Amino acid sequence: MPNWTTIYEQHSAAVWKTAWRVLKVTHLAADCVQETFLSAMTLAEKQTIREWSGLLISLSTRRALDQLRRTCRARQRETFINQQEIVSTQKTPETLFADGELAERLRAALADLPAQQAEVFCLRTFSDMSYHDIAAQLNLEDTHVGVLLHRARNGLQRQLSDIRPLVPPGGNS
Amino acid sequence: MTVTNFEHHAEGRQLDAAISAILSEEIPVGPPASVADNLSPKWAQADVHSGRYHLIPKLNRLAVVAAVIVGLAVSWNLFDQRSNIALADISREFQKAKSIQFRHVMYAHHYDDSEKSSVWRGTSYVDCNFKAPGLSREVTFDEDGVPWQIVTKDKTRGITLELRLATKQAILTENPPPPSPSCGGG
Repeated sequence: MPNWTTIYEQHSAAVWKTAWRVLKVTHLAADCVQETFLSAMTLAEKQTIREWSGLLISLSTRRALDQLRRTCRARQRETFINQQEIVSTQKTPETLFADGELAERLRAALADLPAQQAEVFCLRTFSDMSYHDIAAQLNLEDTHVGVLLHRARNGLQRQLSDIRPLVPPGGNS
Repeated sequence: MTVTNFEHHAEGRQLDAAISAILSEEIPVGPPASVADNLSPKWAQADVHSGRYHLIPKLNRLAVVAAVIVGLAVSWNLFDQRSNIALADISREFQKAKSIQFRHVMYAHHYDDSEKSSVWRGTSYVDCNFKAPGLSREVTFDEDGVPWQIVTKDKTRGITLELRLATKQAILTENPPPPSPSCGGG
């Protein structure tokens, strides 16, 4: 019988980070963390879990992408620049705005990708999981992970292709 | 559409810039304490029931073994005393049923490299409901127990409604059955 308090203490920060990177909305990320641990409890009743970290991050990514798809479909996402970010970083407001827009465009593009491709992309890019670990979590061959990642990148590149790079201050317009 | 090498690299740069933008975002400390507060009653519940979770499969296995033994004993007696019973008799009884419900569980064979062992794991299941004459409803669940497809059929009228929950698609197919041979011009 797993000790859920210990598991939560050990892995909740990583699960939160994963959910927040995909959603960037605090209450949605919190819901995602809760759903992740509830799903893990259901799974633990059916089978013995040997690798909690990979499983929880994989579940969290899946739940977060589901939520992202729902919010993008309902067009409820609100983009805003955090005031503290402006104060605490060296970036100019223009760069900060451009970065925020790029990040939101990538999130919206992720919501349009096929589920498995989006999941592999997030696990590799945001959670830095190896091909082997992703393959183990998703019951895939290592080579198939590479193929899915390549397709995901191509799909995302196509969707981001209409964004023009921001002209730096003082640059030629 | 032809994409030049320059354009392809420019698209790649946009993607890399977007990834960097997400990775450089400051993540607030979390999760909020309310998440643990919401989950702790569930953990307590799981602790209370954990003994029962182990006991139930054992009881189920014992019940199945007992049912098989009883079934064998009964059928032995039946065949011994009434040698004229046939599979057709059983089938006829079965066909008298007006409705039937069952669950169809699909298992996949997984090989674990680290343990050098293989196990069968339930990957998905289908709840099937059939009702005479020709009505059926099949709900397919994924490995997390989340329904992702519902197929409802009315064979007498040749109508099938397929709901794909993940993609929010509904497909209605009308394929009326051919007229019975007795009605044909022959």
